[in-house]
Amino acid sequence: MALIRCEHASLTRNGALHATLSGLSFDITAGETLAVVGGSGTGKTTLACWLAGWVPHAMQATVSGVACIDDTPLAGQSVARLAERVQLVQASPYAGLTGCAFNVAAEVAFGPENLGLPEAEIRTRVAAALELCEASDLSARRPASLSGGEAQRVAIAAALVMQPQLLLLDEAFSRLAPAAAGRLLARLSALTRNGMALVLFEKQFDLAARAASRILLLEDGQQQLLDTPAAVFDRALDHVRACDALRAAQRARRAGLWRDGVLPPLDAATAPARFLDVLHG
Amino acid sequence: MAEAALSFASVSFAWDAVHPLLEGISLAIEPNECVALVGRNGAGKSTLFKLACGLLKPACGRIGVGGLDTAKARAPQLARQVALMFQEAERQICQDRVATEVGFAPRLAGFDAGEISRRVTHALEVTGLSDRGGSHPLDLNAGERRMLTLASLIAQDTALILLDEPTRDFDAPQLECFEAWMSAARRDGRAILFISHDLDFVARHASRVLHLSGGSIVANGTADEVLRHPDLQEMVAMAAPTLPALCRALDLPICTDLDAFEQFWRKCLG
Repeated sequence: MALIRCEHASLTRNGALHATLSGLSFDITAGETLAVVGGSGTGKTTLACWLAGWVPHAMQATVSGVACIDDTPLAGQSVARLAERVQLVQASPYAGLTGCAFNVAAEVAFGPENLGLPEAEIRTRVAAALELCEASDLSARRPASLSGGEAQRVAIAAALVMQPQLLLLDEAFSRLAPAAAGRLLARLSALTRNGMALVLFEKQFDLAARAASRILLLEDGQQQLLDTPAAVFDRALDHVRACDALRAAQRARRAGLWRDGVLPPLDAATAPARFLDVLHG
Repeated sequence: MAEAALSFASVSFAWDAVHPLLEGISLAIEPNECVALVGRNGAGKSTLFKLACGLLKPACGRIGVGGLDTAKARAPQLARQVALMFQEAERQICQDRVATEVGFAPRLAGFDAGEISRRVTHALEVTGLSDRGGSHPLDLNAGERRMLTLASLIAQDTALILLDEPTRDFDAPQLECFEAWMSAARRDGRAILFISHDLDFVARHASRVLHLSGGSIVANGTADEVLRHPDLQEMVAMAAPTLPALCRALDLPICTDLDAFEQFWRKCLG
């Protein structure tokens, strides 16, 4: 059974004349990685907040169609109960800091403490989450003193420590150096093999395609495509960023300098092989 | 010889006495140069920027901006020489209307209403925000908010521009607009120092790349020389900059722009 199910789902924010999101039909199953990509202002963050249960508590809006978690409508769920299952890392990592912790370890412990877990369990979870995010050496730091990349690691650790069924990452790697982003994404992908579902909201195609089996392309709040990364490649790159090797492939395909049947590369590593497939057939 | 747009002479800085963050940094950025500063998270890149524009004072050493010593100059003097795009747009924006925000620096500099209006109109045009002048900055999406901070820098009109991760919030069309401005700013003779984790972007624009690690500049060279470092990315065959790497893999002439690559590829296909 799908963990998340959306059918013809729409959302109109209070006071808005037009729907912010419309025509959403997709599902997310346990262990799946889905990427939602689109340009600025296309509704990615709104969708992330909706899936995190913000409507109507933190986002006042009218919704229609079906948008369920385990067949129960997302809108109107208790945020506290939903937080045990769904965690959202917001685009600004500082937005996720509680403001009431004196060090990073206490910040990451905030969620499990509110679940009333035993202290030993909390300590074990916090240590594991910080280690996974390469943030163990930050545990004694004041949260307000963290750099952008450090705060992003802590925000992800604070979500993982809740051991969610569904982890929503809204451009959560944007402040990380590429080497760190690659390592962290690989570790999160490993967690999906244990059943965690992962949704990446991204403006960076390479990152989305590296982890996701399917990509949902949003344009002006509407679901335009839901398909494999290769199938959405050409259209997605009109809207989102990609490394130069992928841009070169998109331009070659547009200019007719590509061979039918050869798939586009999904990351820089596979680009040479794809170009050589075009060259040699 | 003309004075550098920015100079650090044996600059050190520490948030606390036990853990010095920057030690003995010396560097110079000349007018017309576009230099990238790269390094791991927490290396001190943003702190170096705050030192460069006088928001922080060095513990020792001297920082010069357009002939001013940042430790002695007053903020209004520095604001005529150097502009900083903060890493977090929300920490930079301080006005409740887009147009007022863009006019903030020229207003403080004492320009008359006509000049302020001319600068604001121009900056909003360049950044594609002309129809958002009356909006609240926090009603803009993340990419537009980043553009707003750029518009403010354009209106400030300084010889030295510091950009802290400027491209992170942009989608593809916004990035194209931003890169067009960046090229034009270089043609105008401005000095640009920028921090970015987008290593292909670094390679497209930086005439020189500085690698900050362990409190000092450990490398100073071209993008191709400096970016291939395990601190910055995985050391694989297609490590960034990815276009030269692709050229090497396909045995094509090395290039760093997509138009040139397309020509080479067309020729290669016969």
